[in-house]
Amino acid sequence: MMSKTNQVVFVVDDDASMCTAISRLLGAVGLEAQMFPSGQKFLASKLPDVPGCLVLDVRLPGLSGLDLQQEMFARGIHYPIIFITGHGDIPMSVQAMKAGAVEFLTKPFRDQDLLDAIRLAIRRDRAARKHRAELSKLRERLDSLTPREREVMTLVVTGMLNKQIALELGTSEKTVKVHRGQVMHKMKADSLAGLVHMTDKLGIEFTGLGGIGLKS
Amino acid sequence: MRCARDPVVGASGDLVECVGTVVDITERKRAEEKLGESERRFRLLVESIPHHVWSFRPDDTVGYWNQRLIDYTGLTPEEIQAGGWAALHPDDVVRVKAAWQEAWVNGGAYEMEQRIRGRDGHYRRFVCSAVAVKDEHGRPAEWFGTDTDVEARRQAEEALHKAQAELAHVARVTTLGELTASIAHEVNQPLAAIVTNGQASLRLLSRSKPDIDEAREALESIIADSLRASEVIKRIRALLRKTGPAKSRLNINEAIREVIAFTAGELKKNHASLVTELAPDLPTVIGDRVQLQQVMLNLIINGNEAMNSPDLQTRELLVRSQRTGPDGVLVIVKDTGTGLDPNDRERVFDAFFTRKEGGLGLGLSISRTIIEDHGGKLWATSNEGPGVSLQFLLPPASKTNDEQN
Repeated sequence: MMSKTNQVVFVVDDDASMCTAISRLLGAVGLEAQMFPSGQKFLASKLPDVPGCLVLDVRLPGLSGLDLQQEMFARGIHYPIIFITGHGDIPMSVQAMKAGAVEFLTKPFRDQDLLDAIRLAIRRDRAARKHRAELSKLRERLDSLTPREREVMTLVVTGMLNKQIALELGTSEKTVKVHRGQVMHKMKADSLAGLVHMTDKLGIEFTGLGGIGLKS
Repeated sequence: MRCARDPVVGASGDLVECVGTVVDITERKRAEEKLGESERRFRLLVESIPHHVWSFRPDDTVGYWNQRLIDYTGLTPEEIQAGGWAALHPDDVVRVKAAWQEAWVNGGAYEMEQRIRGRDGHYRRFVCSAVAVKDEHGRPAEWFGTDTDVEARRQAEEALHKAQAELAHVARVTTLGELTASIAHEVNQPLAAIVTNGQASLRLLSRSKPDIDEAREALESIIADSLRASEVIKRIRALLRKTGPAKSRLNINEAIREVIAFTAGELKKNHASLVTELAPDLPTVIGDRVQLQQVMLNLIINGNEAMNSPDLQTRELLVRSQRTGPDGVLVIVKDTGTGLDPNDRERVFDAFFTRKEGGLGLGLSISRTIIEDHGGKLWATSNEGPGVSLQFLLPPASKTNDEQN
């Protein structure tokens, strides 16, 4: 059983009774829940920075469930979403899943189905957070490189030898060696393979003669 | 010429002479003829006009009944002299006597609708009106009046009302049919909460340390939600019932809230938001709950549909109730939709007028009939911003038709 404080489930449904019932269910299995009667109230609240997910009714007053999904994306709120609906919204369910929802359940749903979806969603959120944190760290390190160091790094990860790199950049092999050392140090890479992984994660690639670009 | 001979007798008793007079009575004869003629014409008038004509005296005796009245009631002269009330419907006696008392005291006009028995034994409704002719002291000396037969008119009115009620019922059933999906949703919501609460309770009770308090709260929620679901069914049944007019005291805000519960699903489907501003201290209204809810249903659905257009920025429906005048109630349903052509502002209330594909066009026309039956008014105005406001006014309880129970 997971502890109550290190994750949260946001329940957004304008039917107060349903909201409370879901909260109660989550409480019964040791999950912490926060309730909101509308998308606007959810967006206006101060969200804790812990792993979690949303259980969201598709039909809400004002901002619909799908609109909220888009709005969250625009605001950089990354919580995975589980949609619930009281209507037989088949076309809407397809739309919701395509937009990246974890699950789409029709009321009344089996409690196990909801709990399973929530556990899956929180697992995904943890992984996503970890990934984002890593990326953020790597970006910081990338930003600390000088332009020349970046150029060198881009060519190093293609497997070119220092001599070749020196030729490519029109500089001496010794200079290249120095830059290379700086790159390894600033990026905190302990091997070439490690550096390659990092640049992959950052989406940097060598785009050809004289070009350095980011993978689209 | 009138000739007269007057004998003159002397002292001894003998006829002395005769004095004769000759008077030209041509003028007098002409006057008498004219009077006779006038009297005949007058009698003809009073006997021929298609109303009962009568007069009535302070001592409750009948002064005059025209032939039409005599023929209608079939009463004998003795029965008539016994009192003009003979043919009055027994249930109307109290009312009529009270009105006469009033009229005697005030000396003003008398007018009452009352039932009078015909010679065939059947009662017909008449509007009876009279004015007093006053004596030198200014008190009523004799009342002169007429009865006008309104039975046919009243029956036609009743048939019309019945037809209107039928039509309103049909419209109500049709509307509810259109709302089926929403209504199903209204019932499904509490049901889903019941299931979740039940499942939660099972889990709470099968823990190694069962959470009895939380499980109890879950059970209480289950009961509340079950009642909620059955309320929805009850309300639907009430709306579907074919009702005769059944006016009673009602809390208009409560009636409005119930209707809103039905339409919430439709509004959400349309991504429209609902704002309610229901004044807390509204005067009680006398009205037919089902009919007034039908009006509200119609106005809300119309407002929602006016906001159907995909390129609308805001979709907001406002439902407001407020006190107006001394004790009247004003209800406003305001949308932010596509608005109303000024030419259509009155036309929308015509039967079968609709700009909606597949619409019957009856809703607003029936709504207006219902409100007018309540002594009120229903009208449409264009908002300052986008959309239309439909408003109806219900008069104070004292001014409407009597409460029926």
